[in-house]
Amino acid sequence: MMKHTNKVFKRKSPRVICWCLVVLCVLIYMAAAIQAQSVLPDVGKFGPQVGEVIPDFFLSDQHGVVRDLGSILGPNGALIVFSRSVRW
Amino acid sequence: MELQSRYDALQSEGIGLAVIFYDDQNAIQAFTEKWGIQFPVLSDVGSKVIKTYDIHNREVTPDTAFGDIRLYGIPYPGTFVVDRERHVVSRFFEKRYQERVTTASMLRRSGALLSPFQAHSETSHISVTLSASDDIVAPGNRFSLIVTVSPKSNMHVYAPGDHSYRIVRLSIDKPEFLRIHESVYPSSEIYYYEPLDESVPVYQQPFDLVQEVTIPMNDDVTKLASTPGESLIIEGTLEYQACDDEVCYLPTQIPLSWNLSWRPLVQ
Repeated sequence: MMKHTNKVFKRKSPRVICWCLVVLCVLIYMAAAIQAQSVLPDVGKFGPQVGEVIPDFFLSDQHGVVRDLGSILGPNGALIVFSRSVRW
Repeated sequence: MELQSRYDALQSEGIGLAVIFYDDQNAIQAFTEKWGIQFPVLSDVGSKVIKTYDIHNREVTPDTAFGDIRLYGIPYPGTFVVDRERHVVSRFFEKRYQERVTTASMLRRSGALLSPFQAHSETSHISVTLSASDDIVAPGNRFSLIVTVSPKSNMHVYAPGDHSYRIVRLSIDKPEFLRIHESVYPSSEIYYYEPLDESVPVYQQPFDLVQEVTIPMNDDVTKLASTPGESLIIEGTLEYQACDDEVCYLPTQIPLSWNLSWRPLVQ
């Protein structure tokens, strides 16, 4: 009887470890997949809304010249684009 | 780079352009030189302007588990279209990473930058012109397919509403990988048909059905987009039912096809 119990216990242990690894791998994969495919939060409420005036800015361009909004605007307005990073 | 390819057209239209990054000016200078960028690229190092605009990413703080310090201060990426008086005319913020509305699609309502691609067809009830915001596209682009329907004289077709006539409808069939967004119908007018004493929403004047689609960013599509000689053919169907002042005609389907090119991908 004891022998039988020991045998059962030994057989279970590597199987439990194996399953833990499988579940862990699946969770890591899912987290990566979710992050890769992830939909951004609804950011519609953040920032100037349609009809509102956007704030001015004073920022250096690639030539080291400080530009404000007025120096960017054309006779028919402008596109002001916020992007992520030039590094990635 | 889609913006660089549109810069000349924006300048001809009198529309300014600035792209703001949170990197330092040296990194931005290297970037613009490397990619031949001619429009203003501005350094918002420290994210002061991003925060003034209130579009800093709330989920990334110095403490978040995956947020290394480089990510701190990053904006939600997006574009403000503003008029000469600095009022926001429209805004487009990314809903999924790497998927962006094209410049032409953002400006579609003003008619600026529309592509020259056009195709025409006709039936006895309507004329149809196909166009698109862009005729050169890339994976990740969200752009507009436009069907201009012109009912012939005395003809009308049916708008969405509570009635049993076949509603005019644009459906995109291929390629299957395209993500199709919700259709937007333009405003219709009410047509009163006395013999049946019914008032129904119809289109009698030329109108546009606009279908926004997104080309997903995945390996299969990117491979297709890089295959020499491969173009992007989008096929769909326009379904409608036309009536004149006396008679209603059978519902009709017209096949539609847009032939667009892939933007050469930077390596």
